[in-house]
Amino acid sequence: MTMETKEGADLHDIRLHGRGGQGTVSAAALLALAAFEDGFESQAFPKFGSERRGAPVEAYVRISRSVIRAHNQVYTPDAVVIQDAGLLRSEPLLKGLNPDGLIVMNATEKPAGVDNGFRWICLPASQIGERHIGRPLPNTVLLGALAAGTQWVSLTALERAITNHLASKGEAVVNANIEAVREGYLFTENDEALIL
Amino acid sequence: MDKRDPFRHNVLTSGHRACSGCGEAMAARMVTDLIGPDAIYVNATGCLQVFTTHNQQSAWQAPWIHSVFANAAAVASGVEAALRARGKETPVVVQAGDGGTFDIGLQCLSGMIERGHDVLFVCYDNEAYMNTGVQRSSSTPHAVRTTTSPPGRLSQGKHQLKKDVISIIAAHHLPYAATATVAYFPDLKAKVEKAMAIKGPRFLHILSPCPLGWEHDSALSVTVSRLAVETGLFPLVELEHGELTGVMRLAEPRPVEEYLRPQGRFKHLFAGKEGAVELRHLQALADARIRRYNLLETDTQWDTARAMQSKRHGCGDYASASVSNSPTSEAVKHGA
Amino acid sequence: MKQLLEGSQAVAEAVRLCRPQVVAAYPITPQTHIIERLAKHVANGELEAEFINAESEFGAASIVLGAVAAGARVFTATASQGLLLMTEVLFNIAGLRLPVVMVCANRAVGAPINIFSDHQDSMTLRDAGWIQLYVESNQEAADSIIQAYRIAEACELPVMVCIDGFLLTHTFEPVVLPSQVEVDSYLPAFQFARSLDPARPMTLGGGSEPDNYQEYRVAQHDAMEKSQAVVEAFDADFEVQFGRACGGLVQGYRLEEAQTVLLGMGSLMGAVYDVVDRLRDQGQAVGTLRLRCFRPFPVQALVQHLSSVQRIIVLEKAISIGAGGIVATELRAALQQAGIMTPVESVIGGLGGRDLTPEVIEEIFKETASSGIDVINRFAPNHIINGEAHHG
Repeated sequence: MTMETKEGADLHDIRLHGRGGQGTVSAAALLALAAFEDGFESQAFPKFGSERRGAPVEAYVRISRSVIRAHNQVYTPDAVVIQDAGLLRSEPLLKGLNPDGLIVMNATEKPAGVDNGFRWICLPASQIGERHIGRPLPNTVLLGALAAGTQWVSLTALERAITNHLASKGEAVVNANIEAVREGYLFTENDEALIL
Repeated sequence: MDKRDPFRHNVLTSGHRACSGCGEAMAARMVTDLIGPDAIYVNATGCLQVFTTHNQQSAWQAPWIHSVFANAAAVASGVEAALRARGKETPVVVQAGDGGTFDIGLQCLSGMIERGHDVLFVCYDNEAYMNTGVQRSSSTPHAVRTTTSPPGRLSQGKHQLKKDVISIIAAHHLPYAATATVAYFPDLKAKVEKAMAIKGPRFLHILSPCPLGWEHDSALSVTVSRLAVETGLFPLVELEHGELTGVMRLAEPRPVEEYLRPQGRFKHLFAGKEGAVELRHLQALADARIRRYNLLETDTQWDTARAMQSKRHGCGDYASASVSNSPTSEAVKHGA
Repeated sequence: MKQLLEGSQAVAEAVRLCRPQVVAAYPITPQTHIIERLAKHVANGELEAEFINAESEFGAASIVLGAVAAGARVFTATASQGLLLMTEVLFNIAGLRLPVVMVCANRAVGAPINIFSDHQDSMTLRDAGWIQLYVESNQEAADSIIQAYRIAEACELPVMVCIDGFLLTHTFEPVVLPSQVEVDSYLPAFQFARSLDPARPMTLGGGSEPDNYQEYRVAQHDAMEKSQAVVEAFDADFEVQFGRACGGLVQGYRLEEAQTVLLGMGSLMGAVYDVVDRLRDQGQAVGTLRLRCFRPFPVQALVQHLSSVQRIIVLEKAISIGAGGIVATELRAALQQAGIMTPVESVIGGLGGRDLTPEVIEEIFKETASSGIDVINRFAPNHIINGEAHHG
């Protein structure tokens, strides 16, 4: 039973899963920043582990119309973003996902044996990311796909969030990520992503 | 200058509660008067702190702060940083004993030096935790009796050697590190003045005899301090950026026994066979230090056998068991 | 202007606005982002300060002690093991009446080693003589730091601003940062009357004996008691100047005719507010009281708010092993002393970062003696989803 009714409480809760080094925590921050740009109240934070490349990482985002006061983890997300499909084998990534929830996954096909009525958006985010960023970073691509698939945040807001949040990494990185988020968005909008 | 004294600053002034003959009080008076009252003094917990600021009284005529035992170097780092941030140039001086330098204070001291703070750290080394009742420190020399390294059926006193702190400090490659002692005031003065003319972290290691803990006559502090140098046990050296740049040469080294006999803390070494073994160890340590720092003027290596034959100072044979045990008579013989 | 900021960013910006002159710290999760941001500010000339990389937390606390004694405004931050390592120096700072401001990024204390948030670290230092403020949001973190400097310097007492590790330090949420002009107007430049200065030589940290030591402690305790009024007054001033307040000593929520009140501190309050709203919607007369200032312990304010309540629950994220709840015990004593015999239910939860979810909090309200639970001293229940316990 979810305690979070949708009137006046959180509009959308998102949980992001990835491995250390894939920018999962950054993705959560960008999503919250974008929602904030779009005029919502938002919150993002990681479930922390120690700072190791490759270890499973989880992060949460809340988007709401009213001030978000609680600082709890997201147990019943409306959407799950999976940056590394391999994690599905070992981690309960879909735990608590609402029955009509959405999964945005970095993959070219939906994994076998998972058929519980969720909506899926799958796209080769690492490859798309590599083309723009030079490294197989799927995070901004997946955010673009999420935005296109849900309209919870606008593409413009995501681009602004990237511009501000990644400014310290230099113009080249900012531009590359903007290209990446755009392609993720268009890829999904134009039905090039595998949408199930 | 002190209002009452036209010749001295008396940064450390009268009325403190040091033991008579205290080598640390002597050294601290020398050092702080050379530096003057226009400095900020940070003191670690220890004898100097206790006997100068007993119960709401203070013998310090300069700004002075005491925090805890281990952190004087860190507190001084903060003082120095604050002065820099506020555009002030007051010198910062740490005063600590061997405990607050060699042992509990070593971590903060290393940090202070590593970060390059412009602070002079002065260690008054009386070779044990004297303030708390003569317990051993890592500075306590080999075979010394302390309350926590007592001789007994199974022991000849402190088992370990004296920690070579000047080498540890010099390994930080700081601008200046030197050893000094109260018996050689012109040398100490030159070193303090040299240190005060240099910017960055500086370290002075001053051997400070303790009549109570070393168990010698309180009138003999300067004599004992001199003998520590003359036997080669406490070389007077200077190291700059890690390199040896100054050494006080010994005209004629004295056998260590001359240094050991006046001090009750070595008395057990003269009692039997095991003690005699330690005497030889101590002589070997002195020999090694003389060699290491090349303390002799001549080219030839110091010869232990020669030292054993030396009767110049009237103590008799090195290995003799019939030497008088009276420190006073020894002192008179040595012309102290 | 409101921005979405990570807690550590809000903290670093607030510190920067307060113009510290010496910052010294040793890294420890989850405080690292704070000091990294400050180091960057100094490196870029955005904060004119000496940034000192201490060799340990013991060193860091000692460095700021020396710096403030020499007349500079300072800052340090730590958590958990680091805070405990500083213990000796924290007592020293307080005893020397030095106005140090420190952020404690609340984290559990080992063993077992745990990097997640609870209040054991700062609670363990409750006797050290530091004012302790617990913030519930990143906004309050920023605002409380600015207030902390003014409180510390006015009272000559050190202030510890307690900010939940990860839950706040690593969370992005909306924050309004004031401008430099506004902060300068609220917080005057630091002038320390007892600074180490050859022009006015003083001995700081001399010896004391039985005939005078107690008087120092009495003076310290007295200053702490008087600081309650200062904490309230400076929060009121803050509200006048910036248009928002931090809750003074204690802050109530829906206490009107509340029959049951839950008392808590820090970021767990957010979920409590949501549960209180839900229960009120169901017709239950519940409310909550946030303890913002734990030291000094605001007895009068607590008594005032709780005197006519039938049921009091304290939910806290620390435990005194062998005794139980710390805040609960102090509250019981304070109430009893005021003749209020309402039993105080002590609930300990959220230890080691275990999530205190709305479900858990609602369960805490529901638990009564009739359900076979020792309500007077208990641990929070676990969060159950679909019959499965979640430990967060």
